[in-house]
Amino acid sequence: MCLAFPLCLNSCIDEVFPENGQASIDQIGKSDQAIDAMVNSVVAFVNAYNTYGFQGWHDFGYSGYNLLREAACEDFFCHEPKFDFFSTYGTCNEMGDADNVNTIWYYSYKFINAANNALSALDKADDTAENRFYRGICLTYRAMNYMDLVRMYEYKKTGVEKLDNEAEGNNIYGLTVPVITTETTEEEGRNNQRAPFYIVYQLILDDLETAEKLLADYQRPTKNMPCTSVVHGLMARMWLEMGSRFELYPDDLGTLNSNTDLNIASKEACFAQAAEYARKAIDESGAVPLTEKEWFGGDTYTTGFNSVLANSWIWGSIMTSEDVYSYWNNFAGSMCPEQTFGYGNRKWQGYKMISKKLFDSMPDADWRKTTWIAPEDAHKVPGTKYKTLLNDNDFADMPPYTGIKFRPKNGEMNDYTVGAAIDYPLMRVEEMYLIEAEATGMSQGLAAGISKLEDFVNTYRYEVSLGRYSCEADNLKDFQKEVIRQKRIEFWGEGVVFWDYKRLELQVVRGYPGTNAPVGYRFNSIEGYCAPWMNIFISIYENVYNKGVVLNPDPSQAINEWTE
Amino acid sequence: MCLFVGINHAQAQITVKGTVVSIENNEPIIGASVLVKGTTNGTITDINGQFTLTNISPANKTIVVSFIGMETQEVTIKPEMRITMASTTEVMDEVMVVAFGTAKKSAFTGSAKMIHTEQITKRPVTNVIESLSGQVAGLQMTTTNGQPGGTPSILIRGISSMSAGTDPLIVLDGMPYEGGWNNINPADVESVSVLKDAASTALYGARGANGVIIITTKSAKAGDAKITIDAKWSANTRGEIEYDYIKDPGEYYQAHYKALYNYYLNAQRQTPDQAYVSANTNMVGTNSQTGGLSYNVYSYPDGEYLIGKDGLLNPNAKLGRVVNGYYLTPDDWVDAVYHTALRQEYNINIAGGSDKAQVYASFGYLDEDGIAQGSDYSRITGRLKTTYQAKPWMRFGANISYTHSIQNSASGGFSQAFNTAPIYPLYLRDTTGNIMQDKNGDMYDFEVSNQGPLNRPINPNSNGVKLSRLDTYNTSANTLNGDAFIDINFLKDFKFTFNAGTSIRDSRYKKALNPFYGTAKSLNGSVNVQHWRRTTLNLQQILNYNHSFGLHNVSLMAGHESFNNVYEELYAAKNGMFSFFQNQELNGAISGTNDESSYKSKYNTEGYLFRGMYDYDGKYFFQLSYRRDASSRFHPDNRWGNFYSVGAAWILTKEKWLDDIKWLDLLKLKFSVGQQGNDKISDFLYVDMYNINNSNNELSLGFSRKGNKNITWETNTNINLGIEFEMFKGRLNGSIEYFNRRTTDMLNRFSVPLSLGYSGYYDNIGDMNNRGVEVDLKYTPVKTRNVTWNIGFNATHYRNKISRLAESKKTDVIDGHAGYVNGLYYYGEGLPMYTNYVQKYAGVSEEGKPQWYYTDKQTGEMKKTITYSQADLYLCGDAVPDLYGGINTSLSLYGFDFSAQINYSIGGQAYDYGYQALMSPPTSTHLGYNVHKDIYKAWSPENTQSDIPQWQFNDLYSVKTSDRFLTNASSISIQNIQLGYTFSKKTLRNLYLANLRVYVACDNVYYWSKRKGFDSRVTWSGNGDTSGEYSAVRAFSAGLNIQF
Repeated sequence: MCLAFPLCLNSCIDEVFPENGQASIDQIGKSDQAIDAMVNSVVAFVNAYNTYGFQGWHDFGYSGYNLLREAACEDFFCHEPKFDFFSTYGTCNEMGDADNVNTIWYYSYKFINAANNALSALDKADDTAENRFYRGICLTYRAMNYMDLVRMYEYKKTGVEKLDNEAEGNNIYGLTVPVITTETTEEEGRNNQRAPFYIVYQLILDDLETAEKLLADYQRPTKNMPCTSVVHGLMARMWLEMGSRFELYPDDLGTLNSNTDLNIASKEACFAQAAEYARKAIDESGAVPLTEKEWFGGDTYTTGFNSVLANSWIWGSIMTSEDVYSYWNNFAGSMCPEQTFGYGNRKWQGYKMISKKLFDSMPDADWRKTTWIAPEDAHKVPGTKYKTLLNDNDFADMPPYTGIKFRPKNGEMNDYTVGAAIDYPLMRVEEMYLIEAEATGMSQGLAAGISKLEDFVNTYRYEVSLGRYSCEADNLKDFQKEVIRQKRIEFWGEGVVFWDYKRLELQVVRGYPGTNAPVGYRFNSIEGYCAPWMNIFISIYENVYNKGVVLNPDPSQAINEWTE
Repeated sequence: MCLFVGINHAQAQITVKGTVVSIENNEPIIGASVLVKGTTNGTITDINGQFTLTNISPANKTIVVSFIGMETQEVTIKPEMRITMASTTEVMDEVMVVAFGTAKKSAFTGSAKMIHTEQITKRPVTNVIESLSGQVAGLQMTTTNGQPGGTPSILIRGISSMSAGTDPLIVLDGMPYEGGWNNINPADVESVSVLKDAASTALYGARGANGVIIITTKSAKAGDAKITIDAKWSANTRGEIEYDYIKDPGEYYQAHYKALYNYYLNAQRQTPDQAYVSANTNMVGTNSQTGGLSYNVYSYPDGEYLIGKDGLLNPNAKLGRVVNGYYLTPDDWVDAVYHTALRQEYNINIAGGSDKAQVYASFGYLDEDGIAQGSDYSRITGRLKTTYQAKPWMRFGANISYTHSIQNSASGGFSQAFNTAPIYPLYLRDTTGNIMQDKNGDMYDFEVSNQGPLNRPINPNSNGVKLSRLDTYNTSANTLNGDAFIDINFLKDFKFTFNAGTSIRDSRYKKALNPFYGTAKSLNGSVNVQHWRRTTLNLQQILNYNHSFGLHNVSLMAGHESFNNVYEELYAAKNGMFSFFQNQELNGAISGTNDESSYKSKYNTEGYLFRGMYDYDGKYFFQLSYRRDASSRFHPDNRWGNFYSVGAAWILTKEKWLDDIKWLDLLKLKFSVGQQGNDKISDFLYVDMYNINNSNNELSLGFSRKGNKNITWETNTNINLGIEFEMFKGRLNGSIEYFNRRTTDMLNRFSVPLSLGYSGYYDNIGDMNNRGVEVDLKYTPVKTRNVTWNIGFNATHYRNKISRLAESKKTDVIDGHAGYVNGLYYYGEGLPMYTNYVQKYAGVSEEGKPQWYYTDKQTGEMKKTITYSQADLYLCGDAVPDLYGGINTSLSLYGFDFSAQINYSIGGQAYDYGYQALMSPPTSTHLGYNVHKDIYKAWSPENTQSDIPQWQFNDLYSVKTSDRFLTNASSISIQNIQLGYTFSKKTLRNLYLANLRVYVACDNVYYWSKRKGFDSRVTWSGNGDTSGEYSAVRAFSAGLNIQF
C-alpha cells in the first residue's frame, strides 16, 4: 500500500480550520463581513472582558478601568474593602510592577490595536461612503484612547522629592507614550520612545479632524457609534486639556508651536476652542441634561444611568446580555446596590460610597443629594426621600453615603443576564455644559464662567424653591475647583473627574477628621501637585521589550497614610 | 521431577506417561506443553501436571517440555529419568514490547523498562500509570490530589520543553491511544513498557519526544480455558499529613489577641492597658478593619474579657455562647469533610482457545467512594480480544474494549476546611445547642443574609461543607476502543500488516448548584451541562521482511501511519431550577444565561516510517530507523519533519575472551542516538486569530492572537549510552545508562512590547538540555526451593539546563546568566528551568520586623532592609531533585509473599505555600484563617533570637514571598506494603482450583518531608499550591485471586 511511496507526499494530510469562537485571518480574508466585523470589534472594545487574561476583577470593559481611576480620586469608596476590586489607587500599596497596573496600559493599546487593524483593512478596501464612516469611527476611538494614555502616563510633579528627582533624572518630563499607528512595524515597536506631548496632541487633533470630516454625513443608527457631536465633545475635552496645560506650563506652548503646525495663539485660544466645541456638541447632539425624574430612573426607578436612550447621553456603550460574561464581575454587580448577583450589594457588603466631604458640600436644594444615603437616614426605611427598588429591610442594610445612582437594567435585581446588561455613558451633555462654563471663565473671565455655571446648576440641578446655587469663587483657580466639585457630584462613578484632577494637578484629600474612607485608603496628596498615584506606572513589560521606553517612578507608598 | 516411561514392545509405537513439576516448589505445572521433537505429536499437562503421549514412533528420541516463564527442556526418552524445569532466570531473554513489535531484551539497542502484570495489579490502583510509581528509573510522577478517578502526571528523563506538552505518548496494543488512562482496566494489562531513548521512540516521530509508554493487554493462549477472578476491597482514609496548626479554640483566640495587642501597642501606639482593652473588644467585633473575628464562641461573665492580661484565656470562659438567637460552638470542619471510604473492585477474565483461534474476555467493576464528601468514582469495563489463524498465511484479530464511568467530584469543602479557624461553627444550633433542621437536614452556617448568626470573615457567604453535600459535579463517560489487525505472510520472508484503531470517548459533565444556600441561591439554582466527544482514527500499513543468511539476521520494516483526532464540545447553562433533587437538566430550568457554546477542533498527523535491524550471530546488533512526519499544528509550508535514530549493541559475554569470567553471565554495551519531534502545542499558533463576538447583535471580529507562520517542530536529540549486566547466575542484574536529551528549536513565547496591542507569539527560540544517569538493579540474595528474596533499586540523577534563549527573551543578566523573569522563576541560559528567583529572607530586625537582602549597587555588599520593595531578587536554587527513584523488595517463602515499595527523592527546592498561608498574620482581608503553631516562636521583646517576625495584625509584609518558604523538597514515602499467601496446588486440587491467593496491603503508607505537612511530591516545578487540595488517600486493602 504505502510502502515505497515517494517521500514527497507532503500534502495528503487533511487541512484543518478553526471551528470555534475564533477565525483565522485567512478565513477573514475570504469573508464579506470582515470589514464590518472588524469595525464592530472596535466599538465593542468598550465592553471587552478579560482583555489581559484573568488578572483583574476590574477587567470587564472601559467602565471597569474608569472605576480604577475613580478610586484614585477622593470620593469613591467601598464599604467592605475585602470586596473592593478597584482598590489599586485607593490603597496605594502596589502601583508599580503589578498585574492590575499592567492591565491599564495593555487595555488602551489593545483598543488602539483593534482600531489600527480595522484602519489597515479599510486602507485596502473600496472607497465607499460606508467605509469612510468606518474610518471616522475608528479614528474617533483611536483619538479617545490616545487622550487617555497621554493623560494617564505623562509624569507631573508630585511634590514627593524622591519621585520627582527620579523623573528628572530619567528625563521624562514632557514625554507621554509611544505612538503606534497602522504604519508601525514590530521592529519599530521594540524601540519606540515615549513621544513628546506635542506629537501625540497633534496625532489626536489630526485624528479628530479627519473623523469630523469623514462623519459629516453620517447618520448613526445607535448612540454607541461616534458621530460629529461625539467628535466635538472629544475636541472640547482636548482643548480644555491643552488650555490648562499652557496655563500651568506656559513654555510648552512655544514648544508645541515650534514642533507642530498647530500654531496656537494662547492658552485662552485653547479655552475658547474648548467652549466652542462644547457648545457644538450640546447643540448638534440635541441632548438635554437629565431631569430629576430621569436621574432617579423614571417613575419605576428602573432606567436612569443604565440606558443609552437617556436624553442626556451623547455617547455610550450599549450592552446586551451577550456582553455579560460573569454574574458578578461586571459594572452593575459592582455599582448597583439593588442587585443581588454581584458584590456591591447586601450579600457581600461591597457597597460603593461617596466621600463624606463631598456629600456634606451639597445643600438640600441640590436634588442629586438623595442619590446617596445621608448618615441620619442610614439603617432606616427609605420613605419617599430615597428612590429605590429595595424593600425597607434591604434598604436599611445600606451604610451611610451608599450611592444608588446606578440601576440594574429594567430594574431586574436577580437575573444577571438581564440586570447586568446595562449601558455605560461615555459622554453626557452635562459634561459639555460644565466644560463650557469652565472654558468660558478661563477665556472670557470669571464672571462669564460663573454665570454659565450657575445657570447650568440652577436650571438643571437645584430645586430652586429650596435655595439657589451661587458660585462664591473670587478667582479662576477657585472657580475651576468649584466646576470640578460639580463634576464630582454629577459624574460620581463615571470616571470623568480623574482627568480633571490630573489636568489641574488638584490635591486629593481622603484623610480628615470624620472621613468615611476606610483605613488603608486615607491618603492625602501634597497640595499644589499632582497626586503621585495619578502618574500611572507604565507596565514593566513595556520597558522590558521596548528598549525605547523609560518608566515612570513607582508611586507605591510614596505618601504615608493620614491617621487621626 | 519424574518421568515414567513405559515401553510397550508389543507394538511398534510407544506411549509415554509423565508428570511435570517445578523445581522451586515441587508443585505440578499445569498446562505445560509436551511435544515429541520433530513431530506435531503433543499434549499439555493436566491439573496434576500429568500427561500421556501415545503413538510415539521409536525413531523419535526426544520430547520438548515448555511452559511460559520456564526454561524449555529437551528430554531424551528413557525408562527412568529426572528433569529439572526451572523459571527463566536469564532476564536478557525476556521479550520486550517495543515500537511496532517486540524484541528480545538482549537484542534491544534502546533504553526501556518493562513492568509486568503482577506489579500492576498488586496495588489497588484505578489506572495503570499509578503502578509505575518508583518502578522505572528516569520516570518522575506527581499526584496533585486524591480525588477518585484523578490521574497523576509523569515526566520521563527531565523537562524537555517550556511551552509544549511534556506528557509521554501512550500506545495501547500498538496503536497510539487517546482514550484516557482511567479507561484501561489495569486487570486487563499484561505489561507496560516505558521507552526512554531515541532508538526506542523515534518511530513515533512527531509524538515520541517525551518518551512512550506502551501498554499491552492480556492475550489468550491455546489450551484449556482459564478463568481468573480477582476481588479487592480497601478502606481509604485521609493520607495527608497535617501541618502543626492551632486546633484549640482558646489557643486560637489567644493567638489572635496577641496579634491585635501587638498592633495596638506598636502600630497604634497605645499604652499596654489601652491595647489590652482594644485587642479584647475588637477581636470579637464584626469590623474587619479592626481585626474582628465576628464570632465569640466563649461565654464569660459580663464586664470581663475573653483574654486576660497574661495573654491567656479567661479561666471563667466556657465554650459555647448564645448570639442573635443561635448557640455558637466550634466544629471540626476537617472531620466533617473527610471520612473513611470503601473501595471495591472485581475482575473476571476468561482466556483460552484452539491452536487457530484464541479468545480473551474480561469484565471489571470498580466502585470507589471518595474520602471527601460528595466524591466517588465507579467504572465498568469489558474487553474482548480475539485472534484467528484463518489461513496458514493469514491471521487477523480484534481487540475491543468498553468503559463506562461515573465520577462525582468534591467541590471546595476540603479547602475551606483546611483554612477555617477552629472557632467557627459549621452548623446552626438553636439556643439549647441542638443542630437546627430544615428540609435539607442539618442546617449549616452560611451568613446573615442567607442563614446564620453573623458574617464570618473567612469564606463569607459560603459553607463548602454543606455545598459539597448538595451540589452536583458529575461526569459520566463512555469510552469505546477498538483495534483490528490483519497479518499476511507472503514470499516466505515477508509479512504485511494492516492495523486500524479507533477510540470514541465521550463525556457528559453536569454541574448543578443548589437553590437553597450559597452562590446559586440568588439564581434559584443553576445547572450547566457540558458534553464532549473525542474520536480518533489511526491507520497503519506495515511491511516486514525477515531473513537470515547464515549468522546474519536482517529485519526490515516500512510503513505508513495516519492519525485523525476530532474533539467536539457542547455546553450550555441555565438558572432557575424547578426541582433541584429530581431534575438537573437544562430543560428543568427556566432562564438562559447566554452561556452556550459548541466547538470542534481537529488534529491530524501523518507519517512514513522505516526501520532496519541487523545482527550478527546474536552478538552485534544494529538498528536504524527513520520517520517523516507531518502535523496539522504547523503551517503547510513547515509541517513536515524528519526524525531518525541509530543504535548499536554488543554482547561482550558472547565473545570467547570473556568465557573465563564465570561469574559474569551477561555483559552488554549499547548506544543510540536519534531525534524526535514534539508538536504538543495549541492549534493554529501559526496564524493570526480573531475572536468572533457579538457587538450589539452584529458580528464583531476582534483581534485575539498573533500567529507566526514559521513555527515548526521542537526537536529532541537523544543520546543514550548503557551497560546491561547479569552476574552470579542471575543473582544480580541491572543496567547503568547515561542520557543526554537536548531540545532544540524549543517553542517559546516570543514577547513583544504590550504597546503593540498584543503580548507576543510563539517561535522556535531556545535550547534545553537534560543530562543524567540512571541505575537499575535487581539483586536476589536468597533463592532456594521455598524461599526467594528479591531487592530492586533504581536511581536517577539528572540536571536540566536552558542552553539558549532568544535574544528578545534575554531581558536581564543575573549572576552572568542572560534570561528573563517568569513568575517566581528566572529562566536563564545555563540555569535549570525551574530556578527560583525570589527575595532572600534575612531574618528579623531588632524591632521584630521581617528583613530581606539587597545588594548595594556601589559596594556590591549584601545588606538587609525592612522595606520589601527595596529587597533584591536572588537566584535561590531549583526544583530538580539531585536523586530520585525507588526501592522495592519482595520475599516469598512457603507460599507466603511479602513486598514493599519505597520511593525517594533527594534535593531540589519547592515553595511551601501551605506553611506560608498558616504563618500569615491576620489582616483586615485575611481574618479567621488557621494558624501554624510556629507563631509561638515569633520574635517578641522577650524572644529576640527568633527568625520569625513579630506576630502582629495588619502586618502586610511578614510573609511576603521570599526564600523563607523555599523548602528542601526531599521526601521518602512508603508507597506500598503487601502480604499474601498462595495456597499450595495440593490443597487446591481438591477444590478444582488452579490457583488461589489472598493478600492484605497498605498503600501510601507514610511520607517524610522537611516540614510536617509539607508534601513536595505534588509538583515537579516546585511551585504548586496544593494546600487545601483534596487530600491524598491512604488505602488499607485485602483481596483474593482465584484461577480455575
